Amino acid sequence: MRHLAIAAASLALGFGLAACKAEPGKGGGGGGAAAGPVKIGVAGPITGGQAKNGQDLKEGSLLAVEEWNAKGGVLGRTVELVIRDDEALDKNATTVAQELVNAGVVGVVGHFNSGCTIPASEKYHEAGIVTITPASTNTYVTDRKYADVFRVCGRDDQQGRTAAYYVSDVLRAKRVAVFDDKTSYGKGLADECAKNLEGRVEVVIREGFDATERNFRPYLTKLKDANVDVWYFGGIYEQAAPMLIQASQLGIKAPMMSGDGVHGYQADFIDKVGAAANGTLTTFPDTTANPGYAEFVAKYRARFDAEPGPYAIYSYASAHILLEGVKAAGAADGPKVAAAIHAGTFQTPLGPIAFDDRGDVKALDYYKVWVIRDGKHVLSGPK
Amino acid sequence: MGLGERLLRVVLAAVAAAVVSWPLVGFTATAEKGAVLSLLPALRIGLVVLALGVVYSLWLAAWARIPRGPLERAGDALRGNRALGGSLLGALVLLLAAVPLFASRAWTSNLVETLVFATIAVGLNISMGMAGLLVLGHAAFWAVGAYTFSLLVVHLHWNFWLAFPAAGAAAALAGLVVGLPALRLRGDYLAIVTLGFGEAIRWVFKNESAVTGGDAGIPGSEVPGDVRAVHGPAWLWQPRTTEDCYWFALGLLVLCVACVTLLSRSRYGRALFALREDETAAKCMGIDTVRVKLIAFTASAFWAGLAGVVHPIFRGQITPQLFDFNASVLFVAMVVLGGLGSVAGSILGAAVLFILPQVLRDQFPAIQEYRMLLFGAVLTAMMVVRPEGLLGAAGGGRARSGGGGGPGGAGEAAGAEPGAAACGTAAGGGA
Repeated sequence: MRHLAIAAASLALGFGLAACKAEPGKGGGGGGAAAGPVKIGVAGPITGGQAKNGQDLKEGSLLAVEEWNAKGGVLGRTVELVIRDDEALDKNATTVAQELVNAGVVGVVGHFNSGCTIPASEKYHEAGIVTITPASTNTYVTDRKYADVFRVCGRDDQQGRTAAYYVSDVLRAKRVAVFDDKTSYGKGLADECAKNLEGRVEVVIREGFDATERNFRPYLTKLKDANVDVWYFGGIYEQAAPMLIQASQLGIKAPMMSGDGVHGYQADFIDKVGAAANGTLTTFPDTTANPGYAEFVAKYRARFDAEPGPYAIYSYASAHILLEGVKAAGAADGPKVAAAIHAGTFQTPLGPIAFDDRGDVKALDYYKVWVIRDGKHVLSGPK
Repeated sequence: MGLGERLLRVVLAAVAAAVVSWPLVGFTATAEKGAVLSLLPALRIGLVVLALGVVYSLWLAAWARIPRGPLERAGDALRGNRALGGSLLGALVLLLAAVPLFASRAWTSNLVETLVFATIAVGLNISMGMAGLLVLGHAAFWAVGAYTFSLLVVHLHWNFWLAFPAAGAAAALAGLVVGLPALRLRGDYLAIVTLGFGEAIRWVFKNESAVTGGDAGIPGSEVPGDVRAVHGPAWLWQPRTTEDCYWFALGLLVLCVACVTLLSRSRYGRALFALREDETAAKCMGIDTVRVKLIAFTASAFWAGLAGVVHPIFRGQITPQLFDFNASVLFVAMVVLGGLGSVAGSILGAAVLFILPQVLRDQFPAIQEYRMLLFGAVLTAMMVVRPEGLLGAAGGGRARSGGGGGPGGAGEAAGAEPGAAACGTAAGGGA
């Protein structure tokens, strides 16, 4: 019967904790109390190898929320951010999502990685909470056609197509290798690129590795022997940096091409890799061309004393759209806000944004191809 | 050890903690000045260690002065009275079953995972705690269960109650297949084989994306579907919501505890304990060691497989990432922290190891970034203070002489007399 005392102890533990956290989140949902602040969730890789992305997400949203609060909040209530870290791991994303549901947020700016956004938005969708992802480009995010899931950035089918046409028509490559990190984002993007290359350029290597891999020599040795003109990587800068360094050590001359996961990380990617980064091609929209860009960067610098990463402006715009939606709906109620966001057109530093019925931005192929020259991204032309 | 000497050690520990944590927590990156090293956070950590140590020392000193009489009598009364003990246990289970009715959704979902991990830990205790086999890839069996279940439901539209035992069976089969060759190995070699198996299984689920959905998981972008779907008669209850999952997981844990307790009292259980203490001696006594080990290993895998059914339903989706090496290590830590061979210890170990990080995150948002650091520190401290686990060997020994395992003193007793302590566990398992 010794078990009894012990079981009682473990019970008391779980129990006491359950009791001390009881009630505040009971019922969850987007409704919330009429009084009190309007809660908005922010979820992404706040810590870990992609912390720069998390920082962009957090600070971009914070900037927007502070501006709203300075103007008196929304619907006469202050706006409160609930920030959660998924460490870019899908297993954490659902846990984080549940926490945000329990916290009673009306909408979420996030997540960052497609592999996190997809399972997390299932939870938000179930609870009637609006999801606006500033960065997840995988097509499945919006192809589910959930009325409460929006994406402010582009799609991997657009991005993959832009990359593929550039490889075949501008670079006139004959032999190409395509790698990915096996995540929803990386594999999805690489698949789209490979699909569009089919029949026009020979894909001699098509391989994937784990997103935690840091030794790419086995793959790069094979790449060198295959004698390709250009190689494509669907993945994130945290892997692209060691990959490029190792490629230059192996004497690989062919340039790497990648997507938005590698574009725009000056300190964390370009400066880290150094000269070996030169010649690397990326696909990313020309955000700097938007009229609101300079103003946003000035505000960001003044507030955080730092340079914004590529997705800070998207996070800012996402939070802004979410709050405009709350204002237009006249209530912090998920489904109403979602309907208001579908109905409206929003002025953001990215230009005016309206959504189609999937929740994608109504602006077609706007991906551009960039090349790194002397440690800076330089526009290399559309198509 | 006197109070004075203990306090001196506490001061030394506090200084050591401050020095060790200094480079870890002292750096702050700033845009202009680069990294700045500050002494303050480390000092704070040192002070916390000092305060905790002093409180602990004083508690130990006070504990030594509490008369044992009443506690012992209460313990004896409970042990002597099966009906009372049984009804108390029943009341406890009922009380636990009522938790979702008043706890917040957040805590119900935390407790669901705790219950699942407790089931897996109690199962793992058969092979690790009782038979002494070091298994470093137990998450693989959990994964086999979870994937078997999800694949059967999503692809073949099996009913929940058909897919549920199938998950356990598949995991047990996997245990048998791995165990047959591996269990002829001893100690470290088995650990390496299970470690390899654990990773290999995860990679199979990751790479066979046409069937398993790859990294996007099941159901996911590559294999859409719904694991919560009802296939078959609608009147047949099956878990769908978080609360359902809680009750289902609680039922599973109760079943698991009952089976494992019965097993530990059976001839096989005795054989397992004998095996753990001395394999050669056990063999000499006529125990078919390979067969007994295989039974233990398969049983552990079976419970992990059954427990694997909860996560697909609870989360709505599983991905290979869920079953990584960290999960395997966590299971081992749960069993070791709770106490090798103790069923209740495994449950407590699971509760502490799963809930502690959540509490650190929820209750102390200010130290969120140091969460895992603190978690590691707590684990280290726990293993230093009670190397035999929370309810390990000494807990069993103490149960005979006092009220269910006092702190400190019991641990030292175990350190001094490992043999006697082990006997205490064996007796404790069947108490």
